[in-house]
Amino acid sequence: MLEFLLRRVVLALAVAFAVSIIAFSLLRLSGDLAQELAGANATALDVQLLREAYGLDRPLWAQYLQWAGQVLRGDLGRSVFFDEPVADLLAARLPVTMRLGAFALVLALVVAIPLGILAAMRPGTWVDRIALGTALVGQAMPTFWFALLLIVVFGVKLRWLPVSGNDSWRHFILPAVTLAYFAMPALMRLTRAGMLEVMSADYIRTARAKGLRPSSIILKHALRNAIIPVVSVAAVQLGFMLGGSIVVESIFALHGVGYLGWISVQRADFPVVQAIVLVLSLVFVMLTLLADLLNAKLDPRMRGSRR
Amino acid sequence: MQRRHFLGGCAALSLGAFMPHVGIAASRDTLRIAWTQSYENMDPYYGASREGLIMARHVYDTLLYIDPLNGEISPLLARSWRWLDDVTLEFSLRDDVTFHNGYPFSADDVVETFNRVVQPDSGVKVRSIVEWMKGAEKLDDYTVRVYLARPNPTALNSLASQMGIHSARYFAEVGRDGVIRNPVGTGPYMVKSQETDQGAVLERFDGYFEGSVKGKPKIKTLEVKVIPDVNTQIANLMTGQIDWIWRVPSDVIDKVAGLPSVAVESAETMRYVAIAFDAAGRSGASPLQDARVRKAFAYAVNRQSLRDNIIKGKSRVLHSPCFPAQFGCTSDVTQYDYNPERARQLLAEAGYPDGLDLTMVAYTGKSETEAVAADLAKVGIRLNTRFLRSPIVRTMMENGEAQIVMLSWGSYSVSDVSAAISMYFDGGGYDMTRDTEITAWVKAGDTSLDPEVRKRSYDLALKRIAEQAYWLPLTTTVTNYAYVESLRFRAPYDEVPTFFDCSWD
Repeated sequence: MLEFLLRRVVLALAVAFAVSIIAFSLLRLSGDLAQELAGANATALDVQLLREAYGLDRPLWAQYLQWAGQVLRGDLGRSVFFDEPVADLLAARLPVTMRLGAFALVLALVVAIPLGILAAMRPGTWVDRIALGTALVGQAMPTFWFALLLIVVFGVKLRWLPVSGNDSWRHFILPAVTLAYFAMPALMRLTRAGMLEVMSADYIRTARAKGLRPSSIILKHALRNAIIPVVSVAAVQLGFMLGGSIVVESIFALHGVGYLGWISVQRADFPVVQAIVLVLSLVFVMLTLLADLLNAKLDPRMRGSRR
Repeated sequence: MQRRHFLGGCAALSLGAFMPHVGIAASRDTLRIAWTQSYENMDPYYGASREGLIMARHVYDTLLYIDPLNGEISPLLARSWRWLDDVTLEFSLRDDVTFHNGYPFSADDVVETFNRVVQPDSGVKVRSIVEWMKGAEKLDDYTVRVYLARPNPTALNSLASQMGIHSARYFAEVGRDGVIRNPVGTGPYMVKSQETDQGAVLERFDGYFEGSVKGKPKIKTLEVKVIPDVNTQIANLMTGQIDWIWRVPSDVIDKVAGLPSVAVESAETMRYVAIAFDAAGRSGASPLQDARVRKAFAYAVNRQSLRDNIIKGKSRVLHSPCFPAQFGCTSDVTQYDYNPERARQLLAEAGYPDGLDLTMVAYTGKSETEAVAADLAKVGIRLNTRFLRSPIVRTMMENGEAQIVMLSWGSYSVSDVSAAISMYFDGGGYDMTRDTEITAWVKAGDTSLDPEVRKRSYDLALKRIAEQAYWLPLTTTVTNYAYVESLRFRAPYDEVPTFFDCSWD
């Protein structure tokens, strides 16, 4: 187990390192950062001053080493636009994104797992069709469109919920529902597929033959095996939600990391973009690691088999 | 983006269809404002975003004030001013002004602010705001002299629109970061709270000095929120959560106008849209070096139809690349009215009876470029447009890599023609024309303080630009505002809306 853990951690660190190099280089290859920073109204002198001020005139590797050295010492740099430490900006926004992501994931799981089980119990019936149809719509509908529909119905027509801001938990309902509906189909399908597979397995037939109650068979014996892939996918989905909540955050004016990333890309605020990519990739790597460990716990066979 | 807009438009439409009524009357004491852009801070020097500048106008005062409706300059923190020579200004200051924290205002504040921000390492975001100034000197408690680095006819403009005054004592106490976090000015509103990137609450400053041209605010509280999505803003406007929004895209403004209890205004701005040709041939030998081809291009574009059908609102067709109310701008130049027949003839004369292919780069105005390309196609000019981000377009202009550029230029909100044309015709990096005569005229206008000399110089330059069709100015642009009907709001043309002069019906 320890060897497995170590191997995974080393791999995770290697991935984070590779991501940091890629993020760093892509930003600089995408165009002249100094020109981008200076904006449309800048004179050539403004651009030159900025280039020198941020060391953008130095070789790429020197810039990277300096940045990496700072990061290792815990300094993520200063935002060019906000002129504040990037760490402060992230610290203020991460809780918003985390809350949104966690809320949405719980919501997605609470809907996806029972729906998946129900669908798998009655494959081909109307229950199954409704479940699959709901998933299909969730996958096909663009997030922003669904968000606008929710705003129209619950914000404007019924006036039950606020449509923007992050002042209270009520402000998180519509965005979390939007995000959850986006994540739900994959989880639901996996649960359904896993349950279908497991339910035809020999040990379930044995359990049935022993005369166990159906609820006990489903929840204790079948679900535990069927849920293994769902755990990994849920962790990855949470990663997607944290990184991919850009659209949802900007529609509902939730001032989280996704929104910060989006405006920072627009403004070429490269210290912020670099930091966000790094932090999110670390979170993503950690979530994957966590999923692997959970899987290993749930399924002892996996501990040795992955080389 | 395009598709998102379209669907957004549909959403706005369906919002309208769903709408039972626009509710809750706005609370009288508070004006709730939303905009899409976040801003870094509300400091006049250490920020660069327009929204920050809007806030700065409310929190800080400048020595002079420029009327956003007619561009007239009048004293604000100063009682009077006079030019001593080309590079020296003298101000007599008011002695009855206090900062929000109670500190009295005097010459020390002006001198400390100016001498600090002109330092090369002062950290001022947009250097061009301050780089024309050499420094300031205190003569007595209420008299200061401002020295210019070189003659600059737009100095008063900068002093009236950008250069707010910090309290010297407060700055010494809290430093730059403190001033950014807790701004203290002499303006009509004081900052009650602010959260980076999310919004702020401003409250009327009861100690605001009598006789300010800004006037004492009628509305007690301003609540500013950053809401990045236009459709969410509209939903908020409909449900009475927000009272005022701006920069509503033209394709949805008509639908917003149909909402009950909402007023919309499509106000003309100083920003112009124009097409610049590589007449100097810097991007390689080009048909555009031939004036006949440029003129054919100009005759082929139906700008009136562009204005009526796409830009709409209160925009106007332009004949010179400047805003008509800017000092020195003139429309008394060669005009190219829509005439496809003449365009075809000119093309044939220039040796292109079968038309030609041209490439344009643009960073804005998708529908505008499509309309232009459709017009050109009718006379045989096949225009291929590439959309790039504005900094990339700028770099291409500098490197002489662009054959045709479509520009949208706001003149830094300065009501002087030098801000509209100088950087494009001064022989520098962004000059695609490279006409030495124009460069000389522009230089003469930029450095003289004699209004007559300046007017004459720019007049010559603008006449030659039009006569040679170096540029094809298209139209002025509009900014769309939407707000609750009971609000009295005046839309400025410099794109810096103010709320201290707002009131409720």
